[in-house]
Amino acid sequence: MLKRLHEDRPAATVTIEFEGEKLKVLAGETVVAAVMAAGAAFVRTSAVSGAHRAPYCQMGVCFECLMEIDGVPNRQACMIPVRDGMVVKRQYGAMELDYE
Amino acid sequence: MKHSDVVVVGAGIVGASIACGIARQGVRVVLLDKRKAESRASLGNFGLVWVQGKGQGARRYAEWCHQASREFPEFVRQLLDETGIDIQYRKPGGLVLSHGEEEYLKRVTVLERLRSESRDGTYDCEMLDRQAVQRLTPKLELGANIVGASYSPHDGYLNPLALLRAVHVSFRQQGGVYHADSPVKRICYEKDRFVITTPQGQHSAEKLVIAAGLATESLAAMVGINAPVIPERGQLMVSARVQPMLSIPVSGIQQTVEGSFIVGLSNEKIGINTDTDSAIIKRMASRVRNAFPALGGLRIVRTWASLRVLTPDGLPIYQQSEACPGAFAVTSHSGVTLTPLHMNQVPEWIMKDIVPAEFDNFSSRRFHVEAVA
Repeated sequence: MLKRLHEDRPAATVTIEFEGEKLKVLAGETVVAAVMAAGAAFVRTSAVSGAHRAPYCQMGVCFECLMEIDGVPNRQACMIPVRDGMVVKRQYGAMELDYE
Repeated sequence: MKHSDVVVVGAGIVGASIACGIARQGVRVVLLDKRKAESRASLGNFGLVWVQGKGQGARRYAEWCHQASREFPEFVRQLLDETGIDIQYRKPGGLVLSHGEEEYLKRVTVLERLRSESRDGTYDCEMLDRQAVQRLTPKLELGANIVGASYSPHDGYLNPLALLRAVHVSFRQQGGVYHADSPVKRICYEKDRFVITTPQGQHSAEKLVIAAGLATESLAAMVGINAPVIPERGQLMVSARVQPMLSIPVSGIQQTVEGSFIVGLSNEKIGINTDTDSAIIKRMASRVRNAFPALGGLRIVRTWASLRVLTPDGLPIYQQSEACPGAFAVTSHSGVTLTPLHMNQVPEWIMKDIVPAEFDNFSSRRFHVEAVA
């Protein structure tokens, strides 16, 4: 289980929705940090093997943290700060290409 | 100094497949590689096994590519049996789209030329109209400007990284010896054997094969072979994985077995330069959108550039040295496509002097400058 280094420090929070569940998370942190701190365990499944995947580099390089954010699939959740009211889902397998 | 029967210089796909084919004959082979993580065409390429359109004005090359394509399925089966590595080979045929009437008519001319130059007046590649092309790409609607395409059943694709690895694994299984970090500095020909010097030491062998990509020219010169090569930059981009939508390679656009789209639609002769250029990447992206508007929704995750190895006329070179018999130079832009022949026919030529028909078309003597009286 992941823990924040400074759990006791007072901080501003926002509320996001993760897989249909409301989460109170720290303002300014990244989406993937927020959901992992809330105990998400995995954030996507592999497009090749279907295996569960969790974030690795958390600096925009490895593409392990792809999630669906506000209806947009395959977003790098380590590069996007949380925003109040954000809707976040796991990315299951390869995204559908839905282009207007 | 270690002695072996054959030293192959160059461990990209051309050198490695020849070395592997020779090792399969039970011969002691040493394979010398410049550096392990060296950028090379074998690692940077698109992975096409491509036949259509090749060999205009050079019938033997068109035939050589067709022969390779015919031998590919069996070659892949054998490689899988030996190594357990699936190189993700698929042979759905291939399309070259015509963006507008003018491109369509140009393509018709190319196919007519290949047909008229062929031995029996046939060339197995046909023009399809827009509806027929759309049937081959049912999940992706064609752009408004696409009027048709040429289609060959002989084209296909594979994973080039897996191919190179599988050939290396097979080579070692046959008892072949591989040395990384061994750029060749000097080659001496003394009393029917070659002494090859690298920073790691010396190797000697009765036969020597040079198949070192862009380094072929300078190395072949050491054994008296003129093998001119020119780098040509190709830029590529790869997308995030998406659901399967395209099962046939379409002029520089292809979806891999894992779901990524690869796009490679550029060629520039600008010397040794592997930078990417956003203006060209942008042009490639807009051509993709013109072909299949829905692909505008792809997310590109990486771009890179790699260097093709071209001879002045684009045809391969297969040449034995006249000054130093037993030394051979091989270079080809179609390194992936020709792999089965490099594994099977070329070793017969090198080891047993069994020369494939009309092989002298690929002699580097064609580049000799005539002396002016």
